[in-house]
Amino acid sequence: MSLRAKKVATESPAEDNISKVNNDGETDAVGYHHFPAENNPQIWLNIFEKLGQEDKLTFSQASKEWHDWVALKRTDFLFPQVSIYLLRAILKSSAKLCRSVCRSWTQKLDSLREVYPTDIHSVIGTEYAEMYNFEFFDLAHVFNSSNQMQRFMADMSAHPGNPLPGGRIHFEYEVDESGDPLAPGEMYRLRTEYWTAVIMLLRKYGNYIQDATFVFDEDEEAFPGIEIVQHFRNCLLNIPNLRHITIYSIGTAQGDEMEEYLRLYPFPRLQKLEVADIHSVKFDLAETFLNHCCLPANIKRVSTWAWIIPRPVHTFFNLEILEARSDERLIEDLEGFRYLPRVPPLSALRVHANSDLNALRVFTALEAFADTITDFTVMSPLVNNAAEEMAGIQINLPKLESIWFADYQGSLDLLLQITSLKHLTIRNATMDREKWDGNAMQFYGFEERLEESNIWDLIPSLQTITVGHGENELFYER
Amino acid sequence: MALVRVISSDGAAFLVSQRLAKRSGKLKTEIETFRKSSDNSEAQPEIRIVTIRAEILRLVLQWLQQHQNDPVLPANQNEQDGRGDAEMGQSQWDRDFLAPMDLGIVMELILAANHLEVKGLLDITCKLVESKITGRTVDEIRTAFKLKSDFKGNEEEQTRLENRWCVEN
Repeated sequence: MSLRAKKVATESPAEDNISKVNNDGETDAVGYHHFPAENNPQIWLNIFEKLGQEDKLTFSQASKEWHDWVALKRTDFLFPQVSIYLLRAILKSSAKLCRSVCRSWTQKLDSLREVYPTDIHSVIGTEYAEMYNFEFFDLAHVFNSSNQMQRFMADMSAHPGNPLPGGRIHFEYEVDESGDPLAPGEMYRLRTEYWTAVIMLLRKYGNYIQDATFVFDEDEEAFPGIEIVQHFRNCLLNIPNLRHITIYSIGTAQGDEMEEYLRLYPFPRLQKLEVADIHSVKFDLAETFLNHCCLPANIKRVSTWAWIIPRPVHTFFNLEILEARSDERLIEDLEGFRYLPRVPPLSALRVHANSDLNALRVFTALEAFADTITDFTVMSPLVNNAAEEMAGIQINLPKLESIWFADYQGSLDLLLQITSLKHLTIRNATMDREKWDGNAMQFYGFEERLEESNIWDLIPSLQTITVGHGENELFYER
Repeated sequence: MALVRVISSDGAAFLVSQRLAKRSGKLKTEIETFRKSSDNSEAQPEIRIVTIRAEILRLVLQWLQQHQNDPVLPANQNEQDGRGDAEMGQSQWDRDFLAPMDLGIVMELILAANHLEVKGLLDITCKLVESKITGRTVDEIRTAFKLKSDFKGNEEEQTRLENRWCVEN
């Protein structure tokens, strides 16, 4: 085989606007013209087998001849390259099946799962997952009882490496409701036994865990005082490589007692943590966790159900996604970001307030992230000002492409300011037809005549509109 | 008609209308970059795709040609409206287009579609590979993908044990 640069050939898909080209720019490549093994594919194939997956792909692309030699092996060495795209298509139930096919598939799927927690754009929480119909590849270990963990440890006692493929684990104690009602104190004993088993498991395998979910218990009988915080702290001490944490339901610890305990025994810093989802956790504890455990430069996504945005979030200067449940203070919280020395490069904001939000104030507050924000979701009612109040208002959000309203009330004229808007979703809306027909935006929301709306002319960037939900959902495309 | 020359890794050149080429996110960016950097507005852009060979590039261009009037799907379409990707665009032409292809070629097409940012093609090729996996046995998958079990020692048993403890959420 001669290692010469190929003549630029003539190729054509033979279709209307793809036509033939001639090129005579042949050049000699610098290199071996006669390599001793050039005509011996067996030598090259032997070398090929010893290459890593990335290099095998490069090898196959190096020349047509080499490509043909290894063509039959493409499904093996290309799988690791394409698997990241296949994951969306592979049904979740097929993931384990794929692990059983061959070593390279197992290794690749496991390594993909390891990096998955850093896919910070995945939607989280069942509410959002349902809303977006989002399915994701997800292999996890779920432990609901101490017996389960003991059996797992026994099964894996001879395992030479990582027995937790994917590094994802979920701890949630489940009461056995099949037997008699628990005697007083029994609930406490069982939960103590459960969390003790969790900590034993984490001491052995915690290094392998990158994504952990802890569902505690709000039942005060189960864990009086600060014991729940002690268990939580002991868990954190044993998962140093964690990148994504989800915490549910720590609501019982008393403030002063907890503060004193954590002063003496602080939470460890989780150096690799990037994503923190904190739900139904006592506000002080959530703040302490974010303050102690998070390295501000590393945090990319925070989801919090605290009613105001915890203060440490404002220090996460690389934050890309924020999901916050809040109350009317949300807007002030968002406005506060504008005055930070380093405004985070937020690309997506998803908010769920427990009261109506004023649309104009919300969009104005978003301007703090004008350079980066592309995706905005509001789960609570958004109420717009009267059209006359918005005269002369300028909103500068040049990158905002996607807006998702759960419930919108009022004129949509505000959206005319969002000149980059491509995708608009409105699940519910309250629109007074007589009133709105007179306005600039004629938005026929929930009848099948949105094609007639002048929104398509008024917002030239707009590509899709989705209105309603469930059986009543209507999808429009420019 | 404004044209662009797209050159494959093995040196084959395809002359394509810019309108068609711009249906690929990658080619669109390259053309726009060329326009900004070129003094001559009439100059024909030339784009080298060093990772895609001619056979595959030709298939991508054929697919683009067939779908030139389809709406361009955003990269995150699935999250936007909750529709399945492949269901949105697969036609009888697509099925006929993919039917004779070896799975190795389909995998190369997946890589090419991803590199060139052609979402519709990426979706249907992934869906095809998925159909060769879902609902099959391990042996059937090995046959379809021409793979041999290369587990060593008790690795296969170990993988089975790991799977038993894994929950697919």
